[in-house]
Amino acid sequence: MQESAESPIIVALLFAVRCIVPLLLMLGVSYLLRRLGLIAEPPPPPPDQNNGNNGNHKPGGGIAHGKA
Amino acid sequence: MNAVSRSTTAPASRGVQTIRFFARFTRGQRWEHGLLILSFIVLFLTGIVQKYRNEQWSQDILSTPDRLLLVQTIHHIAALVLTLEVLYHLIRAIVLLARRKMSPALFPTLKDVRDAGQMLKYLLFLSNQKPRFGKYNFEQKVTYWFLFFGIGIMVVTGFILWFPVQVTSVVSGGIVPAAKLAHSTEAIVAGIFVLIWHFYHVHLERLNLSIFTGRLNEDDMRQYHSAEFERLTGEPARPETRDQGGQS
Repeated sequence: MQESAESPIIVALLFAVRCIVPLLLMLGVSYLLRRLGLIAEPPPPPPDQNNGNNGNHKPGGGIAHGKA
Repeated sequence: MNAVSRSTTAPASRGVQTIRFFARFTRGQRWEHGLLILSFIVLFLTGIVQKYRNEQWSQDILSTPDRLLLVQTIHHIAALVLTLEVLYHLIRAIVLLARRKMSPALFPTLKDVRDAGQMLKYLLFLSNQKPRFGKYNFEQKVTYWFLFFGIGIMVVTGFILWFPVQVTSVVSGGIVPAAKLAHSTEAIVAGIFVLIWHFYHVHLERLNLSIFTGRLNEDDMRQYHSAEFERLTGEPARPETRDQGGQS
């Protein structure tokens, strides 16, 4: 294939644009999906936050413990 | 699914020590990543030989028509594996969206933009505080969405190059050279991106094998995903600052 003789600066800028454009697009898509209620928000933190019980409790938000 | 699991060890001198692990990837996600690694490597190696056909090393490998046919066949088989994996990934995502069960963790938000700015400040010594990340940080979201679009481009253009006669019976013939340029250039970009960006974040910055084990230990959760740790446990993560020696 015939390689184009572009300057490295242009190539670097194109690479940066290639990285940023999908993210900007997904920011918009993400906003729309949240507005439409299609993606679920994470559950809020459990109410016993910062009570210093050394983790010997069952965390809230539907989380369970299990033996590894 | 259990988000937190415990592993208990009992060293003779120090009593019982409990290590908590946090579920991060399902078995299906780990299989998908494995298939992606395998197909990506095969496609890259068999594709780069065809892209640089004017080079001596490429001509040595593709020295006979049989060898060229073999390389192309391997490329096409790996492409089919990747296409099936992409279809599974997309269909699963659509089903989860339709059922309102899609997790928002991978979708970028304005917080990710602020996190990137805060991380830049931290790296330039303008701030002592690292940003606090949820389940996926902005670097991981960049990785996912970069490759999501990159693989999409390569799958579409790859099929145009594979079936040019059928495609040009529907659309203009100019699409074939355009697809060839996009396919091979995007492959190089994706290869560089994985080698530099992805390998740095999962091997050099820290050895993160959670995509293979499916879980992350408590120390890593506290340090690299402090907001998610606090959301899951309700305990403070004690976020790291530069003053505490926190250069990861």
